[in-house]
Amino acid sequence: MEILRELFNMTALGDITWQTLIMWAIAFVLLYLGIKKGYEPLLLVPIAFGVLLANFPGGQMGVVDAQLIELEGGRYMNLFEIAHEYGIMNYLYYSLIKTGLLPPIIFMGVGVLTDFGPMLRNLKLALFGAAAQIGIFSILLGAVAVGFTAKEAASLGIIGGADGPTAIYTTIKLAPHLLGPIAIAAYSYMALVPVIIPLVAKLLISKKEFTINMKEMDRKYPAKYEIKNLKAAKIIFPIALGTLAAIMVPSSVPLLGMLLFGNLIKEIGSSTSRLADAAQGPIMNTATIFLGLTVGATMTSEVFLSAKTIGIVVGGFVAFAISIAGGILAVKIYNTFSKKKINPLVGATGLSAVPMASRVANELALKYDKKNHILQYCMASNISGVIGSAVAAGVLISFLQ
Amino acid sequence: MTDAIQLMLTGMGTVFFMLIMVVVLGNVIIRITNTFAVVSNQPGKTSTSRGIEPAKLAAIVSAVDVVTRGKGKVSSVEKIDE
Repeated sequence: MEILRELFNMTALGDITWQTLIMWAIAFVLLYLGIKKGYEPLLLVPIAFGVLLANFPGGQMGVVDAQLIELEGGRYMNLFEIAHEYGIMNYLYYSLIKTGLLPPIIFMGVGVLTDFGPMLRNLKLALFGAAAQIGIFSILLGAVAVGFTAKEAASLGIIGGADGPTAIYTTIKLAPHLLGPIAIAAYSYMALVPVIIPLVAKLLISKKEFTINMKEMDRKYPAKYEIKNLKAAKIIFPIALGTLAAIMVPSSVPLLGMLLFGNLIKEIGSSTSRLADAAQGPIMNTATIFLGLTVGATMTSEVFLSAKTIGIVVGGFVAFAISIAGGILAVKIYNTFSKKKINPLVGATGLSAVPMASRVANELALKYDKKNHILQYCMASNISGVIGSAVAAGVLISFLQ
Repeated sequence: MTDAIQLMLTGMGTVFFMLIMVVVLGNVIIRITNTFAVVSNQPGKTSTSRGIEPAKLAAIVSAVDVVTRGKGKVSSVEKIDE
């Protein structure tokens, strides 16, 4: 009998609570969405497995509150002490996430995957990437009104930028205790872009507006000048924009600077192609694994099962929808004053979710007119949305940190 | 709440300002490269490249660029009858 009791004590069976079971259920649902439904599997699968690891009782894989690693005199435990006391997941979290290292590293890879060509060809459309950031600031107001602190509200609002690394980076800086739910909400809604954009677009765009043919408009009202050396322009652009951003919004530099560096090493071409390959391949993949697992591991039952999580899930969706609506309405306002009309779907893609938002908008336009390909125009506002949300994050961090 | 409204106005203002600057910067860069860095030899438009599909031509130019690490240029492409 004594042996059986010792055997029972050796297992985690006695430590499993109803909260543990709920967290396992959440992890299983997220794994199902990532594996079976294909919703952002590269991030949702590591995040979901991180949730599981954090909620295995006795596994020592859940991320602990920062107060526990604080020592007297405003000092913190060193990484060896953290690993010894709280396990390897906390070592990874406090060295890679809490320092804000991984989101900019991922942004470097995103930069390699980004092509500023469509934006340079349609520069005016970049302004709709600004209008689509309205969701961030609207939800900031709403969240403050319902009792979130300004820092928490800003972290919630940034979900409206539809940019995972930006949302995570802002939350690390402003409200690290909400990192898990915010990351989950941001990536879940990004995965739901094919549902949310058509939903909002059909509410706000008329059938006539859906059929506005951008190529026809270009033929009617051609650009004043053509680009004679796109390659040179694409090399100079990230250097010049990085310099400008560093001067105007320095707090956006960790994200925007790394994005532009990644883009530069791609655009230079074959002489830096090895760097570009590394940034978009092994480095970004490694960063993604550790980001996903550690963010998931912040979602212990004590942190996740709270009223604020519900607020984040609802608020994140509303932020997303307002951002899409903001872009669409900005195009509508523009169209009332301009002869050269723009398809409002171009405004809907002012969020960062590149290139999924553009693909969804293009498919939507093709439903109304089989010859109306608007992908390259959507990409212009879509890419500017990445810049816009990074700038918005920079503003929030510099004002609230 | 007043602080949140101020932050909203400042934030949206800054985002618009930065993206207006992106538009201005982009235009300036295009004008400068159009003036000082015009690409004179477009391989797709050479007379000897006639009869070759643009996509194939682009693939050949890209392959040469990778293999020669940017040093090689394609001046003409011809079909060779066997």
